[in-house]
Amino acid sequence: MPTELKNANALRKALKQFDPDLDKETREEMVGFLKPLIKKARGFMPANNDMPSGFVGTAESGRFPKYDASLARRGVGYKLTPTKPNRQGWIQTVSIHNKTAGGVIYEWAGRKSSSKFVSNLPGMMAGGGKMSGRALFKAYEQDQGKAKAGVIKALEKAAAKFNAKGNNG
Amino acid sequence: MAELRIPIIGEFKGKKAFDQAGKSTSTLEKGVKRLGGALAATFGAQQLLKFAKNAAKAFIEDEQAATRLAQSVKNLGLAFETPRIEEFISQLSRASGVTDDQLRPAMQKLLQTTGSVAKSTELLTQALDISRGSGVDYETVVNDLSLAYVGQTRGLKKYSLGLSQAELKTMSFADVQAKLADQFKGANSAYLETYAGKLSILSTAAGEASEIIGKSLVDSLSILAGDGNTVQPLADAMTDLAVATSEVISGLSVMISKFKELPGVSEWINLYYNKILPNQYKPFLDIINFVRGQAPTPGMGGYPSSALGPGYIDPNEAARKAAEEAAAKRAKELAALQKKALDTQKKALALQKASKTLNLDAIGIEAALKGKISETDRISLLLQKAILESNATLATQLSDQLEAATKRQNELRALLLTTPEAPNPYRNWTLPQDLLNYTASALGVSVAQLQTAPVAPSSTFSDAQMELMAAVNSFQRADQQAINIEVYLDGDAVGGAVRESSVNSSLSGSFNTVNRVGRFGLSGTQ
Repeated sequence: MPTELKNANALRKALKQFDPDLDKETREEMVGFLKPLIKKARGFMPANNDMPSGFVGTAESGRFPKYDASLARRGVGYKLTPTKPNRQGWIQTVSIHNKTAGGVIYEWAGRKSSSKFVSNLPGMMAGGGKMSGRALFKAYEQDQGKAKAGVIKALEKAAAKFNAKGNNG
Repeated sequence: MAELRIPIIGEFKGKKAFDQAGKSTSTLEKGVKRLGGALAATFGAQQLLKFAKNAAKAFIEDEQAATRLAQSVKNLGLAFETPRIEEFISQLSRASGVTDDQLRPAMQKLLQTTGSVAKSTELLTQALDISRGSGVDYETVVNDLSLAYVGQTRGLKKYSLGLSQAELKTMSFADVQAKLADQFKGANSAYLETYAGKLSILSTAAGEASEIIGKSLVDSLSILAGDGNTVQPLADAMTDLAVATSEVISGLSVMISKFKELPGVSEWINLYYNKILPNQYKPFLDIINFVRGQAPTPGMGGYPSSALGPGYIDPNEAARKAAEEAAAKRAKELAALQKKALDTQKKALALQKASKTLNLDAIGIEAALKGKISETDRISLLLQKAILESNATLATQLSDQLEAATKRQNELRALLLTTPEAPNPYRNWTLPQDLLNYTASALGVSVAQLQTAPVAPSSTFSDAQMELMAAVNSFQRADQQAINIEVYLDGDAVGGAVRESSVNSSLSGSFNTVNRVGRFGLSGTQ
């Protein structure tokens, strides 16, 4: 579940407009916390020869998605710009993602059901409920909130600095 | 495009539609109060049921993991250690913030590798420090340690111990463990001082609490079904029970929510559950446990040795001691095997190096010296050998000798090049005069005629004179006349051979027609 940090988007916008250096510094600080998490998640993506052979290959349009380790690893990343509001009205200010179809299948296959395909997949699920998965969610679970705490701290620090500058200036 | 996203930081913006929906809902609630109340009760019940479901699931998963570990321990012949191991894992989990779901498989792996409970617990604790200190996840650290225990140190490279791969290979596990301890000692304690560390302890405690509640829920449902040991009656009664339970929970949740709204009630509940209840009703809880057939929770380590005084003798002590001794013996064997493998590897490397040197240099030189070679080549080879053997004195001597030999060779070559062309050694040879005189007299000519013109034949010549004349004439024409060689063939023999060949060819299928007129097998020779 996301942690709500009110006016975080407004802060990012203000930093970009009025204090680009502080904005860059904040961004770098957040990246510093997110990168290890992403690196770990990429590490959980198995090599092609560890996957069921029928699932590995190049994806074709209109066919069942396939897994390519290189693409799947590249599909795991972070985003520091806000997303569009979802149906519940939430904006994700900072998020991490797993973008490729093959990667998502590996991440989530077997959450609700089991099959021979699922049992042949390497790696164990981690996390619980909707937050369970084999790569991104596992890394997030094992991170135990370190990245989240770091990002919040970076934004709070930036807000404090920005306000201090505004008061002094 | 398929995409999966985990929000780190979010912000609720809401939408116009949400505001409208909110207004509509509140209007509706105000308008139909009874419906609102019913909705609240339903949602409360749903939340409670969801929690109960999650708690039960957590307990079931936990129990499965514990069963796996217990079975593994039993297979290792250490079944009596199961309570002690479980207690250790529980304590470590509470103290470190690592969930028991992670600790159990790790313990299982270490036990299977080492066969020793003491060693496994030591490594399990050390893995925490290493994991916190290096940032490598706990499972990987345990895996690396268990591999290192059996001599596979490749995985230790990632911990940046300042050792090369070759050094790691040559180190014993005890040395590796000491090095890791030096590097990461106290990392877990430092981590637990941080906000994230404290959060992880709380998170683990919450998970444990959820598992405990889940266990109670499952037990309670089993008891309510009529038989505490089997789940079949529970399954049979499940349908009826579900309806009744949901109604009871709904009613309870409504009652509790209203009750908590009263001033001071929340504080009183906290005080009662945290302070009064544990102290006042502990004997009562012990009695319940006894009735359930469970002994009160044992003390540290699962063995009541300390509680029963110094005279108490643990019945499992001998078995434990034997298991530890067997594990220590196995560790020694492993260390010895590792040492042996390293020694063999070193020897093989040395031999390989030595053989390579011999092959390339010394052997080649010795072989060349045994062949037929010139003096200069011999000195060159000996010089090369002296250089290889680092014999400076001999090398200097041979170098001088080689220089002198080369010089001599060059001089000889120059001398040979200046030598004039040698004349024909037979140029002064002449026929003996008495032989000429005899021939001339025999043929009736002068010596001068004999040397310049052919001798004319005469009818008076005897056969001997004719032969002599022919010889003299042929000698005189030797450089001008071609030699005619006449070969006489036996016609019958050649003809027979050709015929035989033709007949053979015809028998083998490729008919040979020597005489194309049509008479096979005939040929003529002249």
